[in-house]
Amino acid sequence: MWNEALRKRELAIRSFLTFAIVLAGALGLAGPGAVRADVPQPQDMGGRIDPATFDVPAIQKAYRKILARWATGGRSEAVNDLKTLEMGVVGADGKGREKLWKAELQAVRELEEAQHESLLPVMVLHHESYAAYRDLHNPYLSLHARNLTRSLAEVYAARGATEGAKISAARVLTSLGSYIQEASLTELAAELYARSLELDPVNEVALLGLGALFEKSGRYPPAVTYLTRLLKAHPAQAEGKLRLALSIERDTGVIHGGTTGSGNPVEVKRLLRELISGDSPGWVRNLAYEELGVRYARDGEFEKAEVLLKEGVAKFPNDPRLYIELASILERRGQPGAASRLAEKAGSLPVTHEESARFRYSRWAPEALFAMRASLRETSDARLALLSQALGTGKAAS
Amino acid sequence: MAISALPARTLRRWALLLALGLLASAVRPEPAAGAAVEVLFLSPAPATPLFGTIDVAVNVRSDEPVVKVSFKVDGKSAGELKKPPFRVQLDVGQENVEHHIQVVATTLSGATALADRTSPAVVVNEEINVALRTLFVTVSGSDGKRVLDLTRDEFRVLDNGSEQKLVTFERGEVPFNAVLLLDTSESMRGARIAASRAGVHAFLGGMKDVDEASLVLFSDRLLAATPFHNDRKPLEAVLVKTPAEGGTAINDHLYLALKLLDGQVGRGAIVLFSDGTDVQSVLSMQEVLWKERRSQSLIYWLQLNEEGARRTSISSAWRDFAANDREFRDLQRAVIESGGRIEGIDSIAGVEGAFKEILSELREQYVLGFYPSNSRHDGKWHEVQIRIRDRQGLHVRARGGYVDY
Repeated sequence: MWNEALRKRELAIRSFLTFAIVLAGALGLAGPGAVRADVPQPQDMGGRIDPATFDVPAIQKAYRKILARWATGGRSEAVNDLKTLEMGVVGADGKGREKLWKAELQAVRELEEAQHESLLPVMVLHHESYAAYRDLHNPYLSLHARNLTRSLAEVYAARGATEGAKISAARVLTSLGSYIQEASLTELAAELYARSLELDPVNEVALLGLGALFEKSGRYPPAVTYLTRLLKAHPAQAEGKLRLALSIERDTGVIHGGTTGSGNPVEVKRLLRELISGDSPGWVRNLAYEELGVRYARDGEFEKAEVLLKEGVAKFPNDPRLYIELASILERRGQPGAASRLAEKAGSLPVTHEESARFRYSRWAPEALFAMRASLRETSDARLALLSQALGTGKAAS
Repeated sequence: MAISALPARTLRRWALLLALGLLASAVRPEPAAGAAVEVLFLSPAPATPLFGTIDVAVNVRSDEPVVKVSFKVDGKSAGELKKPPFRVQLDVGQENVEHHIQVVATTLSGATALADRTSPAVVVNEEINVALRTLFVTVSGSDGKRVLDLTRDEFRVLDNGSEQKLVTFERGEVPFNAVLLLDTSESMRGARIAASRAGVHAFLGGMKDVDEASLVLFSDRLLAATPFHNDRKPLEAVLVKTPAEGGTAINDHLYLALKLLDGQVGRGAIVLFSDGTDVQSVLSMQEVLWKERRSQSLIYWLQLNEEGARRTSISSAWRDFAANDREFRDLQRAVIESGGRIEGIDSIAGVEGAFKEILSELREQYVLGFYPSNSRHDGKWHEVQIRIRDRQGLHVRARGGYVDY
């Protein structure tokens, strides 16, 4: 049923893509509009625009200046100036968003005609501005940045001659999806990840993201599907392996903290043991100890749980939760005194203000995402000279 | 295991220990320190292993007025009385260990006398569990006001339907140990944490000298756990310096609170203050329930639910909708089974009053003790019912049962 919904969304994305391209084409045919004498012209404020005075050409002029600043490495200034421009044009009531869309898309189309590769840094700029808009609570701006980034990614992938263009477009969509996932817009994020995987079927973050999204919403069968794909393409993905282990169990009717069913406990325990013995990140190993302990206890293997958790406590001696879990196991084994001493020990550990491993698991912030964003930025930076060239402000780049 | 099932050799060893203890107390009078005052133990009997709720009673002989008698068990204060009878009821827990009881009497002129008694652990191959069950009972009338004039004979305690003989009966200000278990997650920032601090301040300020409290602050992790203390200043200092951050893990920290109370002498209560649902615990509420059913502590849940918003089901990375709903229901069950209650608070203005009300309730409880006549130590659930003879319209709340282990 969920897959059916995803297919429908893919169709919607394709319609959206067609619309974006047609719109861009239409704007190209129409050409830049004439400056009307009765419309106040934008005041140049050192590269910024006075939001009170604009029309489409004026917006484009300011927009090109922002792109030029971006192309010369003025990253935060460009993002700030874009915010000022777009906020001014769109307004609090969102009435100016159509005008903004036309102006920016037309400018981008001209750039794309001049130099296709210049699109990549432009879409990365809009993707970063989306991230900056999330705290502004202006839905029109967020929507504009999101839609423009998506459209540019689609155009870039569709007209790019190389696989690299598809991979970069997939990374932009995945990164955008990740921002959306953080905001708990689950279905939209899933849509973006799914599209990203069409462009790059082994995108690590998109596969992990879909697995995590489905897991969080309690849809374990598709979570297992995507996480299995992830592990096949990226066998060392420790977070993915942990999520797969827990989702396999839930997929087969055993719910953490609830009743037990048949499940596939052997496979779950095998995956968790691999995580403990491998070189997984510390927080993943910490969780693998906790979760394997839970499974031993649930299956009545209290002795194994005790041995495992004692090892976990030795590895992570400042994690109160492992002491608490071990206390619970010892109490079950008829050692209430030893359990009390562990509880007291848990209470006396130095307090840390670092998030716990369990909290870390609950929120979406995989290491792979940050690595992918860094790589995307690098790829984009390598094309800044091409953007300058397309803007007519830089030297020809090879 | 039942005492009758113990090996004969073990029983002989107990008998020997008991005989030696009695002999020792016969040839050596109770300690008398000071010429003008002397303290004599009435109970517990010497050389008797102690478990669960016990009576400590002393006789004080003095040629001048006695101003106070202080009780300590295992180095911790267990109560202070200013007039006879000098008798307190304490819970020493279920662990098979030695207990050291000290009683100090002070006279008007400042002269003191000390009596102490050490109870041995039982030397057996397996741990035994003493069956004395203690119930903390809140009785209120149809007007909601608590009823405090009931006598021992007016209570009927039914254990799986069969009436039990009450061996201990107390009412009123029996000392308590409380764990104030406070959710300090990010959602508590601002006015909520301020209200929480005000509530804790009111609770600690209303405690008597013999009461003790520990603060356990948690979010997705343990943020602070203080020792049990009667002095509110160090406790409040911890609360003030702990920022609200992170997620919510109620189960793990409720279990921790129950364990911390295991080590305390006397009545135990947990006051959980939270605005959320558990999302990050490693322990399920089933595991906490397992513990709760073997504990004698009361659990109160101050559930902050501003504007009367209805709780909505959630799915999280750790549990799906159904599992989270089950966790929530099991938490409610743990609170109700313990004899405590859930107090919904729909405005932060009500937080301080809610803390005060729980303190007031703890001050106005009956403490009933009985040895279950039908105990088999088989791990089965025993339902406990309390009835009041010849009085209509009373509402009785207490622990609903226990695991016979």
